[in-house]
Amino acid sequence: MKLSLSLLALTAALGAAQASHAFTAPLLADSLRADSATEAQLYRVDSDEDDDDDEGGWGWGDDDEDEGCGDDDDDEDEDEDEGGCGMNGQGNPAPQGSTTPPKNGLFNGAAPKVITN
Amino acid sequence: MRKPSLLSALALCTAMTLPVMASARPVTLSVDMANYGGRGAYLAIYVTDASGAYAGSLWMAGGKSKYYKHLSDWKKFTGGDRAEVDGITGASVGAGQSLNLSMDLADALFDAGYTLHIDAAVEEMRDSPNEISVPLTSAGGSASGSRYISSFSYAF
Repeated sequence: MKLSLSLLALTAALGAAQASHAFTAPLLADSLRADSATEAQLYRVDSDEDDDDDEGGWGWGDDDEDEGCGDDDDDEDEDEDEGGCGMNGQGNPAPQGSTTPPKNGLFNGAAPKVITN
Repeated sequence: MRKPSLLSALALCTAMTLPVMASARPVTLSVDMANYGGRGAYLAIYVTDASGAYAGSLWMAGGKSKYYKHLSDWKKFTGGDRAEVDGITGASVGAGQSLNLSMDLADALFDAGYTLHIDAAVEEMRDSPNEISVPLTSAGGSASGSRYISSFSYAF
């Protein structure tokens, strides 16, 4: 009987030890994951092998050059009908049809016609 | 006296008009955008000559000049001068959309070593200079893009 009780106690102790490990292992994993997440915030991972210089494209929100004519939009629109500050304003170029094409020798005087669909 | 004067004027007008018409060629440019999953793309369509020097711009899709620096090859050639695209600027082109342009181009551009280029850029995504590069020939031409442009072609 004593032997049976001892074996039972031993089994219970082993079980408790395993359960304890089961609880601590995920905590450890979470901790490691948290560390990795911190690193991921510090380093942008890039799949290509170049040096990323001058690639651009990361955050046009930084492109806040003063265009000198009250550029107060939030850049959330589709850029349509934004002729800038009038045909001869300092900001954006004149839109299609509002003036003749540039005299660059490529065109025959007439403005191009555009269809987007 | 009146009749000869009218006839002379008509002949003069015809003589002045015909050479211009003969030196122009109606061309249709078609750009099919890929489904790249971003916002409207800025596109700069421009031409270089046989020596690789900038010859001029044909179209700018995208109205905000402050973003033109992302069309980096076009920017290198032009310094970002918006006067280069005054009157030939339209809206940016969305993913999956098609842009069709009809224009009369100088005949001298074809079969003379000129090349049409397209730079593309999309907000919060990587810039794509010279995504399309196609020689201008009287046979027309086409090319596939690598990032934002699915395909490009021009025909007469």
